Amino acid sequence: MPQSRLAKLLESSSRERLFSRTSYEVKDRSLGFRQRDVERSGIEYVRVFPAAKPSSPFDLEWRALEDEINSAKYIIEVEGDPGLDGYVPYTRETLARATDFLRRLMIHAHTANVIGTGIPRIGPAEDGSIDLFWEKGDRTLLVNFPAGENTGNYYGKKPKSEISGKFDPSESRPELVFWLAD
Amino acid sequence: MDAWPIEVIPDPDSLFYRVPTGWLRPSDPRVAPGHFRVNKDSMSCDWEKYSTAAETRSRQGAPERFAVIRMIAGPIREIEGLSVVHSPFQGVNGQVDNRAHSSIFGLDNPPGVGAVHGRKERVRSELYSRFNKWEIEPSAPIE
Repeated sequence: MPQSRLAKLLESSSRERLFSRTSYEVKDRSLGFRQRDVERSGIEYVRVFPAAKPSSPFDLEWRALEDEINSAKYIIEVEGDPGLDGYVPYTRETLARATDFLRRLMIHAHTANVIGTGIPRIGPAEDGSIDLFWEKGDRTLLVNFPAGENTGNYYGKKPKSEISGKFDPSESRPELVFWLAD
Repeated sequence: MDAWPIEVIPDPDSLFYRVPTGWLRPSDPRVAPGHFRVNKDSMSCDWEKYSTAAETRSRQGAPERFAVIRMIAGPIREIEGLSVVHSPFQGVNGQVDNRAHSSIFGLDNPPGVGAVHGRKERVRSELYSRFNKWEIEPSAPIE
């Protein structure tokens, strides 16, 4: 989770301090417990509770993204079709390339206050590759991550505009989501 | 035995394309661009003149493990670079004769042409935009 998001969560939380002499904890619904020693004779408990206010659209979109990523774990169990030649298995590495890229895109979008680009469907494609597919009204964006290659290929279409190309998935390509949102 | 002739598939005719249910997300078994795949050098499907959708589903056995998409020859040909060809086979080792067998060529980059990045993603997106409904749902009972 990016530091700015953590800071925002903590800032928006109500806090309660409980002093004791044993440990120091910060509790947050998303982050779980954090524990730290305090440099003094005793030790301090601090609990930070999430504020009882509605989640922001950014939080909701981020949560939907994580739900989609969790749901996509089935891909590494997908088996080959016996009728097809040359089956290439789906690996955690390929899936991680796709999902890491997706998280970076979303962070860039939120940092730029862009929201509502939609959550792509993550799915298996040919030869062990993995797709991210955005479908939003009259616009689509398909990004494919081949197995065993540090590359990605994409094609997007919306009225009066098409984009396509190749990229290094370890780089961020925020212009892709901006294109989708524009 | 006379070999089956290769015929011209008219634009309005349907082709049935089989998708293994193992490719689908159990909680969301919709058609996706990732289902349009090349085997060897083409996408294999069956022409409606010689096959029903149910026969396509059953052709490899275990029909419960397959769903079927209906595609139309004309809209496939409208996609830049794609062609639809009747390609029946009989007497091929290890394969059941299939007069309906047809091939969609052109998903991969043409030979001799350098890689065009994003081309295959374009073709798959175009196929998906035209054919994104099941003719036979993954959960459909076996006929």
